[in-house]
Amino acid sequence: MAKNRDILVIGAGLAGIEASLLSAQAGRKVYLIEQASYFGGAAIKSEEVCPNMECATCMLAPKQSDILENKNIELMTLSKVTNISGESGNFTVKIIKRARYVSLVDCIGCGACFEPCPVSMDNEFEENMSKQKAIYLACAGALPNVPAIDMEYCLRGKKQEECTACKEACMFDAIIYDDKDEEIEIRVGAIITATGFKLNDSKQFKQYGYGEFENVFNAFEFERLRASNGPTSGIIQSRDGKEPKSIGLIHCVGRDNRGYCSQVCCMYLTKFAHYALDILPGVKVYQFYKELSIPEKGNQKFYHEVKEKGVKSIRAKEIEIIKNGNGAGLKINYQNEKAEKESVDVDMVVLAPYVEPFPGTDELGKLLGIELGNFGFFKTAEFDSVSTIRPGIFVAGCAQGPKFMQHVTTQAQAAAARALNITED
Amino acid sequence: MKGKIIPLKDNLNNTIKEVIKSLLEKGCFDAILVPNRVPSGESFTYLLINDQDFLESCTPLPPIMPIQGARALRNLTRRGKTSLKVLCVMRPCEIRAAIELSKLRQVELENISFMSIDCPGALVTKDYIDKPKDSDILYEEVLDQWTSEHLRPTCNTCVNFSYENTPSDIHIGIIGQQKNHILLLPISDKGNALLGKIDIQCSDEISSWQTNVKEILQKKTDQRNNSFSELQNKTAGAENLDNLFSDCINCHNCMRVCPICYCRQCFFESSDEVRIEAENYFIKAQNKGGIKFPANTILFHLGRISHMALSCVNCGACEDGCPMDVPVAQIFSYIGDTVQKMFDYIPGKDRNEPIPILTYKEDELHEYEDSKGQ
Amino acid sequence: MVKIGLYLCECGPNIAEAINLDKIAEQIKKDNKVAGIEQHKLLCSEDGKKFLVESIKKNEFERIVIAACSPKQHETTFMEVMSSSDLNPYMFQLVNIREQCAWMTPDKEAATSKALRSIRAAINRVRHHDALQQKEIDCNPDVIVVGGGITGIEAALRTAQKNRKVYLIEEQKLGGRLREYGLLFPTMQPAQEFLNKKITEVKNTGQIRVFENSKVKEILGFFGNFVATIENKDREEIEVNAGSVILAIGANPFIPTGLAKYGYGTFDDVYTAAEFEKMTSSNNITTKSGNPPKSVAIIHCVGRKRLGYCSKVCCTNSMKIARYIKEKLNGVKVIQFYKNLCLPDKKYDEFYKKTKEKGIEFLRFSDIEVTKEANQMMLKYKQENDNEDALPVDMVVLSTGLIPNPKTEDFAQMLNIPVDEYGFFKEEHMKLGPISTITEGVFIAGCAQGPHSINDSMVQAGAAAGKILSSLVPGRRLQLETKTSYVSETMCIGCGVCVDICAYGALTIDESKRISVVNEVLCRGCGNCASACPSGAARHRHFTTKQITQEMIEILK
Repeated sequence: MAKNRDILVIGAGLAGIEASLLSAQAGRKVYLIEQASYFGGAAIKSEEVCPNMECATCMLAPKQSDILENKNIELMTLSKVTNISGESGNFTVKIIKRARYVSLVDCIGCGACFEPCPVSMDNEFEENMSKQKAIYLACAGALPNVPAIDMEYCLRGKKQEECTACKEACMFDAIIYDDKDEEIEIRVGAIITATGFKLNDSKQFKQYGYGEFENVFNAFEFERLRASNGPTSGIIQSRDGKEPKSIGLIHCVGRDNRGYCSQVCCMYLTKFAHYALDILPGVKVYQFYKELSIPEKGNQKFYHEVKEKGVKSIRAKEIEIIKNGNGAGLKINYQNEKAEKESVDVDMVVLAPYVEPFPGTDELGKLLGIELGNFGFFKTAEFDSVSTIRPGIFVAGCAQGPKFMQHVTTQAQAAAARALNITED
Repeated sequence: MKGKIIPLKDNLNNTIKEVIKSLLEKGCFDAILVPNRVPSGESFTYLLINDQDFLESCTPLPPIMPIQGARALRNLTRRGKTSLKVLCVMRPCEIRAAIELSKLRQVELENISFMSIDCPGALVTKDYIDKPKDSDILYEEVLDQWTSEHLRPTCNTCVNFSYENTPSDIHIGIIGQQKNHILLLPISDKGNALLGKIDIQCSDEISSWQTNVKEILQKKTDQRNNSFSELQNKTAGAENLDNLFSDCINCHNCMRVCPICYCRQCFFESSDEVRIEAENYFIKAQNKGGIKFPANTILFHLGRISHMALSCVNCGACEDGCPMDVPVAQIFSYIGDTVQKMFDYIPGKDRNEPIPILTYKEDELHEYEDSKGQ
Repeated sequence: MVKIGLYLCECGPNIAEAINLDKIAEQIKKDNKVAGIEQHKLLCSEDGKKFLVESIKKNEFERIVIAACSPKQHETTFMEVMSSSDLNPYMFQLVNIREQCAWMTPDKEAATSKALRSIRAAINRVRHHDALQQKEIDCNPDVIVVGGGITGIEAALRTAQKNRKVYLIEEQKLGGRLREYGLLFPTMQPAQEFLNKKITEVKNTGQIRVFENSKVKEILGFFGNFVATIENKDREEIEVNAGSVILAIGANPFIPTGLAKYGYGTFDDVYTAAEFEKMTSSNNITTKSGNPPKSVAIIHCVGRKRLGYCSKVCCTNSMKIARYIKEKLNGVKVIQFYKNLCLPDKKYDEFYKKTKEKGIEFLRFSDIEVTKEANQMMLKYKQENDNEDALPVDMVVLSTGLIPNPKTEDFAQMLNIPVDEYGFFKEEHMKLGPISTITEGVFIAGCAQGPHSINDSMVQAGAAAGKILSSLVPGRRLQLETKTSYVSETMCIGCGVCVDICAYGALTIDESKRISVVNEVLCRGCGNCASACPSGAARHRHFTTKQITQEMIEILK
């Protein structure tokens, strides 16, 4: 039986995008599926990436438009794999495409439908720090530039009401209330899974007070605070809207329990220090670390440059965050390198929780018939970190383990090489 | 720094020629590029010689500069380096122009050495050609005073008349402590070796010459500042510019005599780039109430300024060549000085310093922001 | 007169409500410069595109101006419409009257006036457009891999295919630095076994031609068409052709000769980790006196401050060495002196834990000095709590970082790629192009790009393969950028400003003519040369002076 030359890429973050673009450039048909209503993954949540402090969305945008314009790539948002059969060179994959209720063809992304929608709900993309309508775009600039309707919250879905506010506002007849989920079957020769990561919800580590104190933020929340297309338009502020005069950045949250270093946290917390010093005049920034891990050329220089701007770096143990008096202020208790107890009062704390596999990785692993490693990431061969135990299925990006963006890119490119190679005649 | 003070033989030019002669005799050079009086005696031109007899008619420091030396050198090496070793005897501004041209690869400096001379300035060429004999006497006076109303205006305001910002090999100091002496100064290692070859030991103190240079520099700087503050008003605004250039007849002489002006074909002389349809002239005329013809006179000068501002060495050739006495060199000198200061750049000063167009510093943008009051 | 067609897109209410399109149509009609004006509700829709093709054909327009949205959104869409209408896609100008006019101001009159100016400018411009043609060249799918270390081997294995030959060039023997290794971390498997398996794989793959004891003398050419001159082991010069080059020339261990406090070169029994590694592969660990050491100290981060970067692999490598010593020598004391442990992989914390469990001590220091007192080496150190102490040891292993291969600079010059501030090859983009370079078709992999673990180096090799497999498909011709620059022979003065300013190495001086020339394969049409050229000789095909001045005349009217 002739090999199928088409390629399936699961997950449209940085890794999935890169793997798809390379495969398509080689002339292959690529199915790129993404569970969210937008694509771009975690990378588009950042305002800037360090150490060069480049605008993240501007960096990704050309790649994203390449995906949208490439005729060899079929991007399916709101989609999930439901079944896989066959073998390397000839996989049959079932995919469920959830209804978007807005036509990707007819909608021009003018946004006229948002205002009339009567529903207000938490915006998940913004870490629930702002509200969105039931018909929504994840954030300004999200691609594809077509909103989706969340039927769980839409009055039509929830209360079975005959609300037609968005349809009436749409000049292009792009709203499809009777849109249906659709199951499709595709055949491909190779599969690249690039499902990415999420940050651990650090509520389990009570000592840090996350979820208990409102001004303890996790890294993505802080990133969205700084994002110019985020809930505060890039203004760093505590929950009550005040400009923080002091910020504590906590490294290695949960690392000891979890059992690995998440690699990127030292650097992004340093970036956060840079953000704060850049836009908050006179702010005091404290970094509490256990082991400073700043590999990759350029990172050490960045760390020292930021430190010189006035960051206080403290090697600390037994960190505990408590409320400071009656207000929203916080106190960080810790033990310093001389084993002395000390404390610092701050207005805001930002945690760097460990990186864990994206929810559903285990389920997908089962469907794909590939093993997971100790920590739930896809397991790959020794000295071949893109190959799974199943021929024809490859892994790219943080689905294999935490990594810097550059390693996500190289892994995606390497995975594409393997997928292209095995589907050659 | 030390130099060698040698006594004058007959006159200044002959003394310099003696030095050149010994360099030739010792085989240090295959040829000399040096100013020479034309047979009619009315003007000067550059001569490439290797015969010592020709040296007789040479004038290392002529009273006028009808041909900018860098142009002569450019002619020589435009198609590549010379295989022969050549000594160029030039004014500091000519050497600096040559260095600028080398950065634009219009001059190849390999096998080229420079001998510079303290320059009192050059007389206005038109005046000289009218009365060469009187002018020669006049120039003797200039050598006493170092400023004169008969000099080109930019020579009076020149602050780079000595070796300071000129990367020559051997410099000849003539701002004498004693009138009957000149000073030989080795500027580069090459210059040092050359003087060594003709058995000149540089062990004389040069402080009194330095004091004199400083004195004259102060005088010229004062004149320069006066001239610039006058020009500041004259060049402000479109209307003033229009007045300044109102006499221009669009002959483009200034462009032709400029040592740096490098385009093979000037945009303003190209066949189709500038010519616009008649109707567009009408629109312009309508908007402004009238339009001067030939059009684009000021645009031509502005275009040239934008090309030349960073490389202009203030030699004054443009103004000297202008038939209508437009103060074009003074304007270029003023604008060039302003722009060069922005980039912290002295054209021709350093052979290895890249031209500003090839450098990019992130701070530059901040400087711009700051200047906009942000 | 050339027939220009103008199309106004309403973009639903987006443009129609913010701009008075009727007024624009009326004015343009009066100007009498276009052969026809049409208006449509949404030109980018399927219906709109169909309308465009039919209308263009029916009216026999020769050049088209469309006033609609941003070129970022729909320029390609409309260029395809041009092709479907049998017109050259470059005989077209898109005017952005949505983002740049309609959405700029609520003042309808102002928006209309700006839109009118922009449209007039585009009409003036499009008259001077040239019909640019897509160019293609033949290309060679073969690959030159420089460096036969593990990265080069992996790159060769990943690129070799049925229709793709690989030339793998190594100055010594295949295997590179890995040939000096005893064990690999974190698996602690024997390095030679692993390496030999890979080398056998190379030899069994028919498509890889290995040149051992050979040097790359020169590589000329460009993406799709490189020619390399190789001097083989018999000192013969051989030429090979390929479409791409992977530079996998590796890095060298830093030798801490200038850092006196570590006693390297002063005292016996002070080794760099790389030197120690060689000892392990000969399976014989003794001090100069011939006895096995009773205590070994491993000092981390030696020279890191001077190098300016963390070399990423040394912490784990030090642990590997420590475990090896502990295993080989009974009762030996092994202490790691470290500042910060860098363990950036999900397996390394576990590796560290296991290392500690083997009885290897870890001591954090802030300052350290290797001294000798009465024939006994002493480590004087200061801890972070400022306590000072001293420890007698028999052997010291200095864990030094990686520095660039001295050949990096030569290859960088040969292939016109920059090196970074540390002397490694500089990647095209740190995050998005980590193994690409500014020279198309030249890739960097492994430690030539910066310090990497074996695993990461191999991934990079695979990544380079990915870029090559996707861009140089056997049998396919290479499509070149259409909107490139060119240099006018009559105008160029050969000053070389464009050569220095071009980021892609597309411009060179033709020494015989003393003017600069554009290599169209490398030119990406950024226009830097055209704007920097002091004499107006370098020009951009789709941004000619004429096009721009004609556009400006209308804008500034």
